Amino acid sequence: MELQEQYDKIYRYCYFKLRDSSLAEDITQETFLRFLNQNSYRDIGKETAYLYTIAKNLCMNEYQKRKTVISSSEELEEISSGQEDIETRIAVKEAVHTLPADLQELLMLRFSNELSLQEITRITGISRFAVYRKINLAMKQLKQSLRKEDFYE
Amino acid sequence: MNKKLRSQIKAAFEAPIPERKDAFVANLNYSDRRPWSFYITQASYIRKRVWILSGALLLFALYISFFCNENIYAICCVSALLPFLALIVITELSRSASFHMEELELSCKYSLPHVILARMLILGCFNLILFLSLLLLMSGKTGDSFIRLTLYLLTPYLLTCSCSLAVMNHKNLLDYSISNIGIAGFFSFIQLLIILPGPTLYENHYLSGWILLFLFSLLLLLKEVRSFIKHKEVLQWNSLSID
Repeated sequence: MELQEQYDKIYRYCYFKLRDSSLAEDITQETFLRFLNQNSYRDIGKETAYLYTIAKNLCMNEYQKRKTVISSSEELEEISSGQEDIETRIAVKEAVHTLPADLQELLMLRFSNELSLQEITRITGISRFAVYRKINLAMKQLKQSLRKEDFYE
Repeated sequence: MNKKLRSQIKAAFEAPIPERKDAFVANLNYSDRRPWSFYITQASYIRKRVWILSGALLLFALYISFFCNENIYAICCVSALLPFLALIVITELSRSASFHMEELELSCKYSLPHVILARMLILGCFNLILFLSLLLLMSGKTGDSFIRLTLYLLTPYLLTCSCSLAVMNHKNLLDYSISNIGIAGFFSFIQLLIILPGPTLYENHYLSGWILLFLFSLLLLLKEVRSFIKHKEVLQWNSLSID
């Protein structure tokens, strides 16, 4: 497991869940500390899924505690620092955010963190077929939403 | 799928750059969890004398096989030496039991069966390399077939390993090294003894017997390795001090 790479991915996942960079980083570090200190995990080749499960549970605990509200204005500020087709990126981002949370999570795991379908199956606890179907559904909805705004042909 | 859309979806989930990542990664006591690094670590825990003695035994076996005039006596002498190679391996594997360290090792990051299996694999691979080089050199010298030499040389080795493990599995001795030495000595002596009436046991019509004995010792070894590992899994906490 490449620690540096996984750190970025887990951090991105936590940020997606909490929308707070400082808190996401705290949770990321806590995830790694718990993962490396625990004794119950048996080395059976499902490290990534196990790591995501810890992160997910910690995010859920934090979410319950703080009831974090997504701040879209901050995100738009971040986007404005991009170079090319900023308008399209903003449109895609907004379209993604209109999707249901579970579909957003699947898109995030599949396209942003580049996980395989099998790994997503392990993390989310739903079947491979359901993951495949939901990702297709998300893509369909995304394209429809972008077509309305003439960003996708 | 449209690559552009894919990259835009990826960008849609971008998070701000983590600020504390480098400091965290630098301070983290992270051991590399890739499987081969675990085996390298375990190999470093195997005592140097194991490697040295095994190498010395191989050299001695080669010396005997090349300087013994009669091929059959060379095979007999080398096969009498190989139980001591098994003794070296078994003594190394029984280290945690001999030093009463099983409980401590069971409480470590990797479980004792995991560690024992890794060490078995390392020593097994090392012995396999030694055997292959010995067999290749000897088959060139004696003119016997590779398979036939394998049967003659490997059978006493396997029998020593399986009997030593059987004793360790079924007898709760305080010191296994004495029993292991006894078993290795016994099989070595048997190998020397069978040559006394003449090289009859190495003749063609006994080949089927050797095959059967080889298969039997192989199956026995597999069974004993399995129960050896199982025994480590169910080892009761502090059982040695109770005895």
